[in-house]
Amino acid sequence: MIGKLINSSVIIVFSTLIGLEMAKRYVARTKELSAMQGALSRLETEIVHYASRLPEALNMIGQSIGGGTGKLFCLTAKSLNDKKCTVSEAWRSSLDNLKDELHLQQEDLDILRRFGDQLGSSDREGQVKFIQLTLMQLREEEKKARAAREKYEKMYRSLGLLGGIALAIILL
Amino acid sequence: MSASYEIKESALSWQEPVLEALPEHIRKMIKGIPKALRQDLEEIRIRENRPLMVHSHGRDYFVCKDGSIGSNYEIAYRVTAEDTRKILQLIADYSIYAFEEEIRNGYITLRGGHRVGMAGKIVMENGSIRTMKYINSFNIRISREVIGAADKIMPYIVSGRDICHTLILSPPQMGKTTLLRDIARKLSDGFPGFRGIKVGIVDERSEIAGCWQGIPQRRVGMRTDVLDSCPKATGIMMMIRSMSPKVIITDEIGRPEDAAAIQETLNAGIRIIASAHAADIQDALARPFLSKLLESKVFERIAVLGDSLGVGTLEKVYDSDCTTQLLGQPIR
Repeated sequence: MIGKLINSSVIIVFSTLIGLEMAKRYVARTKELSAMQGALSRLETEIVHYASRLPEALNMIGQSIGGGTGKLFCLTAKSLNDKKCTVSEAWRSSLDNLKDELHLQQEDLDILRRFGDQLGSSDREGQVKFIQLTLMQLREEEKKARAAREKYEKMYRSLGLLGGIALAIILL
Repeated sequence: MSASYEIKESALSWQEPVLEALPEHIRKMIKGIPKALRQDLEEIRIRENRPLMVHSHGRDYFVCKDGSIGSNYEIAYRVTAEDTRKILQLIADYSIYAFEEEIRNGYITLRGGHRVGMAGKIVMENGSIRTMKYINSFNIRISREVIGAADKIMPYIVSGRDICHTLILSPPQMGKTTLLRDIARKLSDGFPGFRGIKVGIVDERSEIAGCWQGIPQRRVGMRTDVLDSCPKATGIMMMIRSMSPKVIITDEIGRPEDAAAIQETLNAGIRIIASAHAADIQDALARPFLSKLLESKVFERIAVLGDSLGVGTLEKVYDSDCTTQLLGQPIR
């Protein structure tokens, strides 16, 4: 009897945790998308008003915002400082390196990759246009992410718990 | 008194900042060039789809993949579109938006004061240059300073504690900027019998001080302030108002507004040392702007540079009347 109780509680705890983890992904994606927008806005200011050098600006913003987005900025700045690759190469390889750490989806990554291809390589006016375009696309993605979050966050949470209970009942 | 903070420049000290501006494989090729040529390297020429070339000892050489030097262009390394794209990013420190003005002017100054000239397609807007695109040719000019270039001219422009208003006339490539720079250094640091004074350099084309991110990359002296990339006339006024210099040094005067700025300098009791393009005093007197300036006898010394004894020869030094010659024979 005690054995059964222990087993079923283990199943319920694990299944709840899985549910919470699934729910967290939705939360994390919206957070990362909004952090990315904040970071890009700051980058725009650095470029337009201060004409800061890209490696310097990326590093500064990356350190101050922290998190996955901050890491992406810092990592790109670091490989730019080695002076071996182009901005696009540095940005893409940093994104690839952090892909598992970030909770972004394929469409978010595609937007960011396209952004990296243009970063630093045109005059101020051009940079502003690309940043604005990227911001707009990210806002759209964030909207979708929020909708998905509302739909699925609660569902995965309760599904985890309820599924665990159901599994425990069926198995034991 | 100046020796303590000066670092001796070695023949290859240009390499680090210049090589940083090149993609890795081209870096290796340049490093592979025989040392004798590398030490006296004057230019690295990069042109898309054409052979990589370097200038040294007054002529050009083709560079092969392994860095060996040839005079046959067929075996030379051909620069690719990818190379030029990368070079532009590297010289602009990945921030082309921060170099709009420089790109319009056609050159970017690297750390170390080396200049990279660029050519491509010009985009016009309302009759003036808006930007340059398809940049595909680069000329990396390795700049070297000649410490002591001004030794010979100093006795003519300094008398006791006083400094004469001086105009240096010279055809291009005769070392006028090098001379101005060394004059700035000597006046600023001082030399036996002369205590250093405050010097202000208005460096419109970033050539005198070779500034990189505002910091002079050449030895211009410890009491020298530099206004980098600043239009001359405006810069001279700014210097007078804010930095209290005893001497203002600037190059290539020639626009009408420069005359007003020079007049302002005189009124403020500040000495001016400037340069202008001209082959000789007769040439200068034939130019509308320069002749007016010379006739007003603003300049107490007019020095003419040439190459009768090699580049940088001091050919003549005139008094303010433009006829009395103070120099017995050309010196270098």
